[in-house]
Amino acid sequence: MKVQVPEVITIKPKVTIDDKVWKVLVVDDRLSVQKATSLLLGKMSYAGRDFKTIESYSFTDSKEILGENDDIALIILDVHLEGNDIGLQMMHYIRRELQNDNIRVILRTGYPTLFPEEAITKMYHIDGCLFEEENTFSKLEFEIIGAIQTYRKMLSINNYLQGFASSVALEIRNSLSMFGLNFSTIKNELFQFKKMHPNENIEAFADLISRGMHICKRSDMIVDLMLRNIRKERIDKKSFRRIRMSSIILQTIDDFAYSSEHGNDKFELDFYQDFKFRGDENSFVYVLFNLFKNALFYLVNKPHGKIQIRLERGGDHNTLYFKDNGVGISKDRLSSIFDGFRNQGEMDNTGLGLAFCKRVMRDFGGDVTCQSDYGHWTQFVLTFPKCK
Amino acid sequence: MNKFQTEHSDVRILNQIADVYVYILKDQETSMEYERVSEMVDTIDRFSQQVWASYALTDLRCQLKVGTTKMTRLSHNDYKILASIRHIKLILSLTTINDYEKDKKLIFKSILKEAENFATIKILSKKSKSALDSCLLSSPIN
Repeated sequence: MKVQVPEVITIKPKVTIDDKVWKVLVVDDRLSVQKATSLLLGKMSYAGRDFKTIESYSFTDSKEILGENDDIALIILDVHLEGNDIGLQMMHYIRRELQNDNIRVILRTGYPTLFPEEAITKMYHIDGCLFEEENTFSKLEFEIIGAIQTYRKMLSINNYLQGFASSVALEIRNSLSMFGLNFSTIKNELFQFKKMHPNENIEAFADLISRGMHICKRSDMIVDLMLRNIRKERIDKKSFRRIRMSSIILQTIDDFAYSSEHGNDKFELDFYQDFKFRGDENSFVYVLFNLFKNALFYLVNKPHGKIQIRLERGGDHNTLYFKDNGVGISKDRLSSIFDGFRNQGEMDNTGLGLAFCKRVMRDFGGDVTCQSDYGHWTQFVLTFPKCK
Repeated sequence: MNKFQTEHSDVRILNQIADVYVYILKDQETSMEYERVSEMVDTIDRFSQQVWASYALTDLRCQLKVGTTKMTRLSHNDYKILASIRHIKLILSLTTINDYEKDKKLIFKSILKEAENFATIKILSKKSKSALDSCLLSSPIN
């Protein structure tokens, strides 16, 4: 048996993208582990593709490698690396910070930690555990192939979803553009009618038409954002501009009131410390839409339900506090509400909303976090870098 | 098997592992041969398996949570050191004799590193530790 040592990629020079191999990141500070895994992967192949090992000896290196490579199929992670909770930190970084749900993870473990593998597995979708003292060639191979099969399946599901979403979006956009065109024609006709009949009162009708046109435009934008959401695309910073927070909130509340049965009577606004931020207007409107939609879902049957929005200028960053007195979020759900495909049970929700909000806020250079007192209130805290 | 017996047996097995390392270090010429090194590594691995088995048995008999004895007897780092021999065994099993001839110095150096790490395990007896340390001082790794 000829054993080929696979090409080992280190953090420097920059890792190259190669779609003809399954990339496996081995996170372990022991040379013997790296060497043994490399040897094994070097003699393995799956679905006509060889394996390529990427070695990492620390959490910091791993973060850098993961940031540069979005095509890593599998991580074999030593949960005991550097400290007791490194497995937890690493998984948090992959699933929550990078929002990468595709990458598969096998934990190398065996020693009881503060954060048991069982808990990590449930929280972050782990594919398997390799117990150090039971580690054998066939066990490792079995776990790796199983994880790669899952990765491959996830990629094909994602590709299918994206293709499906694109076709649906195209159909919706065609319809929206037809509606928009018809509204525009009716508006022109109304204008001509008004010219011929100056005494006729058509303002209410014209207003309805304008609202319709506005909703068409906004819906088209939302379809676009949802597509971007599914593709997990980053926001192009060329679209960033300085936006006054109070204006965009008021405008969005108006739009929201147009497009839903809820009025704007539930909002309490405190713009005393108004500020400007740099970002993409459409994306932020969608963030607000998501927050409104989630809050109102639980407030709709509550007579004294309120949404309080407060702005606060700070030294390093500015903050938007978005608080509702709805049902709140339980502690066990709170830690995962920004994960993709999680929701609190809303029937018409894909669960993608808050994950998207997180991505948008990160793209703006800020963040969004959530606090809650279950049964009483929920508060989203959106931070923005100071606008220079 | 009670707690005292476990302590007694794990130290005894660790001393036996230390003896194997001492043997490797003392007779490096012969120990570097493929078959010899595989045999030695296999022996160390078997001893370490005995340690894991004794811990698991104690957990079971004393109705402790799985891993309790392991955690009591070995630090996190000591655990990793003792488990590491498995990876050397994997390397050897995945390396042909021809490839071993090319890489034997590197592989042997890894084993010496394992021995060096092994000497730091806290529950290892003083006698075994000093025997291992004195051999390590004269080995190429230093």
